[in-house]
Amino acid sequence: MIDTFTNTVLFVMLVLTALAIVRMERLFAVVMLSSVFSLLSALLFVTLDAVDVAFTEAAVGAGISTVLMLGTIALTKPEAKRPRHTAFVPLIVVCVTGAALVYGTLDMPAFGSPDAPAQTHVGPDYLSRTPIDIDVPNAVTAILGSYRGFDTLGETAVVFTAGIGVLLLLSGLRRRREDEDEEI
Amino acid sequence: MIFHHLILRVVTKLLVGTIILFALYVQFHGDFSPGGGFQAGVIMAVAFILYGIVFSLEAAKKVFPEWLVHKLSALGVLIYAGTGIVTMILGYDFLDYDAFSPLHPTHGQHWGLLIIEFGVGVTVTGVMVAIYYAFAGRPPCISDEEW
Amino acid sequence: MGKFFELQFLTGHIHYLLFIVLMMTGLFIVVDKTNLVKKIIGLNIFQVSVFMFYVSIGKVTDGTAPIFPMDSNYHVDQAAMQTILYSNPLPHVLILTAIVVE
Repeated sequence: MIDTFTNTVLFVMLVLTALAIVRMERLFAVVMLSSVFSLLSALLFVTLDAVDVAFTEAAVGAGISTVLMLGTIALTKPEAKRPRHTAFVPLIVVCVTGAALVYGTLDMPAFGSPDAPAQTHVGPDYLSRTPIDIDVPNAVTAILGSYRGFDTLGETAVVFTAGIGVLLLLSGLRRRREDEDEEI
Repeated sequence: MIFHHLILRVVTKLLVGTIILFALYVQFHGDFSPGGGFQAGVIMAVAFILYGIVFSLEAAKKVFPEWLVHKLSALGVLIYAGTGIVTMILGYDFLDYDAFSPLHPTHGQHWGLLIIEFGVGVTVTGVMVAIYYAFAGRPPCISDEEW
Repeated sequence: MGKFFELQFLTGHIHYLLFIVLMMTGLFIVVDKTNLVKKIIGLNIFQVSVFMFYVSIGKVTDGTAPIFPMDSNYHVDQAAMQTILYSNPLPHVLILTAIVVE
């Protein structure tokens, strides 16, 4: 009972924040609202029993993303131009896509059902094998590091490559600008 | 060189140490409570970014120089892949942590998890701080009054 | 067709509709607005609602977070863990990778 109430309140606040982001033009407020959105979604992840995911979403979404977005709008202008076209065609597109997605979820399993296909094969197997093989209380870290360790190696390599990509794009520009200043 | 308000500077000096301590706690307790390498890396990066925002970017670069940031990003991936190579040298499969203590496989698994999570945390810290240095190093187009 | 409007079906599937509403809000920001920063934030909203959709598949009713209780030796208390119902940890692992990569 209190569970449903919490979920409903959090979800309503999420939808209100998203609608406010749609309507606002001042970019500083939009970035702050997106940070609020990340924090509320982290709370919703906790009610869905995904505590590791909530921690990561709060740290990455409400922390790093906000700082980088603020850095971006410091380099551009602080107001967004009001779009000159009407919002009719995007609304139609969005409604059609939404209807197709809802039609697709009609034969998905109900919320929290223990005999859904996702709960029958590998999940309970990992849960029962972790105390015997690895003996670590946090099952998510055990799966991430040991049972699916190769994927985590790939993910770390992707983070490293993304960092290199950003450095290549942003610092190359600075060097070219410094060379131009030296020539002058 | 802009000096921010006195309260901001004093509170930041108090907070940065606490944030780094919390990041180390999340890193090494990733096995026992929610946490692990990714979250800890991001929180550690936030400590340095906060220092760079309140005191200037040059002060942050004096504490955590750019060459060190770039080397650390690569070092984490090297630690992770190196663990896999070490287990292969010891005769087991790639990334099979039973190699670290063949008599008690669960202890070996625990050691393996600690080492690779440390590698992940180091890489994520390095990459986040490097991206922040790249963004903040460019001259801003709007002045401080327009905020 | 009639079974789609029973109360049990609706209460079991209403969360999918709510997450799709959030997704479509994010998609609307990407399609309609011209400012690039707003487009990126709209994409962020879309991404987070997709993660919520995916994690909700792993939830088990009356389950708890997949962290086992410890005994005094800092090992997993195998007797105590058998009696507790846990949510599926596998979607959490996949979404953790997805959040960090994006």
